[in-house]
Amino acid sequence: MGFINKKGQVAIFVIIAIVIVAIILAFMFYPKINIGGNSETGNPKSFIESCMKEDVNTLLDELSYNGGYEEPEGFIIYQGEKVPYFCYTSDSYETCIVQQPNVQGHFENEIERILKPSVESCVKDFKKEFESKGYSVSVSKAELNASFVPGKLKIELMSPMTLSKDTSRTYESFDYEFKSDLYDLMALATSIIDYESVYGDSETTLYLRYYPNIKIEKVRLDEGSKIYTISNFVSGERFRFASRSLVWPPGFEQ
Amino acid sequence: MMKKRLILSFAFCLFAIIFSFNALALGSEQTVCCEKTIASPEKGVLYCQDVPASQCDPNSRQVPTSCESTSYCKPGVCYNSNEGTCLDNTPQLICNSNEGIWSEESPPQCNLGCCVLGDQAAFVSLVRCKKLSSQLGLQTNYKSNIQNEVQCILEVQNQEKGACVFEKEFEKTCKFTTRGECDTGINKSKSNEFFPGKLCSAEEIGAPCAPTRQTSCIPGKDEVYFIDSCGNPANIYDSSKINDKLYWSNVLDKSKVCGAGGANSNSAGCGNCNYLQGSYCRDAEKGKLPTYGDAICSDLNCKNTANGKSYKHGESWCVYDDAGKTGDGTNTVGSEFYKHICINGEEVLEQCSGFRQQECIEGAIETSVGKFSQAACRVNRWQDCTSQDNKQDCQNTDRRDCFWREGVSILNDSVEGSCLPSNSPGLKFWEGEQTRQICQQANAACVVTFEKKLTGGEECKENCECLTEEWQKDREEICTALGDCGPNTNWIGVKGYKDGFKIETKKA
Repeated sequence: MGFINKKGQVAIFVIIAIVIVAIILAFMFYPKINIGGNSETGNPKSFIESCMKEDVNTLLDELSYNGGYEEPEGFIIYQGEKVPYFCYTSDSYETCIVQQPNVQGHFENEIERILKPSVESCVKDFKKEFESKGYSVSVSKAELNASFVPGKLKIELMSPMTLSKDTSRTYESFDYEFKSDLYDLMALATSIIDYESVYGDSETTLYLRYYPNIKIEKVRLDEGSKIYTISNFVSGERFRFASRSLVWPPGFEQ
Repeated sequence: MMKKRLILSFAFCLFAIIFSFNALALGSEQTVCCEKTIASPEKGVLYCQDVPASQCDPNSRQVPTSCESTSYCKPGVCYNSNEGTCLDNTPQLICNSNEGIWSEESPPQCNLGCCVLGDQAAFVSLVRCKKLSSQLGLQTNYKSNIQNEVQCILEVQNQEKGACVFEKEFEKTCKFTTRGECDTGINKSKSNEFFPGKLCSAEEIGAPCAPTRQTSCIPGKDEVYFIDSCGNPANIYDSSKINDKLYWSNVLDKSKVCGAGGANSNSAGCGNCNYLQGSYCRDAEKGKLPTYGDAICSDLNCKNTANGKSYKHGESWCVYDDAGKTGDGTNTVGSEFYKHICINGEEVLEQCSGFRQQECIEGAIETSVGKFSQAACRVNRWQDCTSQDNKQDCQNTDRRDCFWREGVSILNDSVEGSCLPSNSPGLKFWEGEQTRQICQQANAACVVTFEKKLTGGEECKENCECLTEEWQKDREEICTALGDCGPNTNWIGVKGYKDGFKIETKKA
């Protein structure tokens, strides 16, 4: 009885060893195998998502710290970086003139503009890879639509494409969602601009009552400009912009 | 007796040499309302600014008047129809080029009302309410008759909450929500059944939701909540009640659960956080794990701050830790006021305007949990101090920030004192003529009369006090109080290397 059990154990070990060797060989000879199965299952959505995910996250991080601008038009140089003015007056004792009334809309436009080439490149990569696997891939021109909503950034990729092999499948658009709390940060930035343009300053502690996870830092510079940095404690996201309003210069008006 | 008059004059407050000529250079150029400025390496391009004509882009519109009087740069209200938000003080040009709709007066679309979003509320415009409701997957519930924010908040606080049992894909399920949402917002079915004051995990309502050991933070709520197997929030997390059927059946007020009235910061067994006391639901950090779940009442208060005191989250206080004092005109050169704020356990500082053009004021309000300190940077109203000729006007804190110094006058001999800034303003003494103008207010000429004695020598007869060290000290103090004038010390306590004043003696 004991001998039979031992033989059985040996047989199991042999089978396990064969399976392991087979898996290793499969990876060696077919290096393009996709563990998640996204490419093999012919899913362009997940292919493009994984392709652009890193770009989106980097872009959000960089743009938000510059008020949603890649290259601001009106700015102040602070610590060697251009921080966009959302509200500005060159005069003393005057409240500022709003320079960017549509903070969110502008940020979304910047994302669409900057991300488009990399998304197009992702679509091309997808086409190339699937054509190499025997698929026939037909792709039309890609259009992007980015929009911030509470808790996320939504990206709609309108890129009609048809995949054919044994059967044919057509896609019209793909919807992507990336976790982001920038919607709230931009709403706060807009509120601060409103205070700056009407009263000449903003009381940052007021916002603490309603936004427990938000930190607002205000740095005053000698020439009267203020640099605002709004950050989320939980997600770590930051949004930075500048304002120059109701400046009290040294001495008195002449 | 032969008399001889000797006149001694004293001139004070002559200090830095002034080199600047830029005021003269700019003085003659016409200021225009400029649609678009010339791009500069320091500021880039800015819109609708009153600037000298030479700074305005020649291809943009420019009129020699203030921007308020122009059509293209007149400030008004910019309505964003996409988000439903309105922004004041926006020029037409900027508004229209940023997909906004501009109007001189606030349009009806900017009127605010109460937007009910489940058990939350927002005091916003109708379009904004529709946008928020769609983002949260809720039906729009907008109450335009509610005209203030407090009333709006009360509106949702008074909503009845309970378990809403309904059918989804032929299966019975439950959502913990308001009666309003249960009746109209879920599944749009008349078979929805609402159980006020009950949790979805209550056995008696027959919902397929059971107690779990999971907890979570709920958006808009301070506390840590138990979560049932359907993903609904149950009562506030209390580790001792994990198997208590009654606790998983009825909704309990926060005043009737564990640690009521306290902050329960970092408590492993109780999730009754209190934001006003400085605790808020957050994901637990390593080493501070609760008995069940991953959420905990995180401590937001600041302990042992720069001044050695502890403050609650949201409290702010004034800090003036430069050399010198405040309030008596002895501020040092370069010193500034700071407002410190306690945010999420972090001490954040906010500088008031430079050159002491702002000062920090501080007060405390009484709350149910003790005093709550609040500080603010406020404009230093020093400008008209020296023109006040009586103590009452000088000390009128509704109008100005000054103090009355008895004895020495800077106006004329009929006034028996001087009105001086409580916090002496900082000045750009290294440039321009203005500093000279401010400081020379402390200049004084004192005529001392001597009488020649028959036996030889002279005897002082009039204004003899001008010859004393005390008189000189008084004048020095007035000098310092006027601004960065006269003999002074800098913000790190180092005394100036010049006297800061000059005494001239002339005989007549």
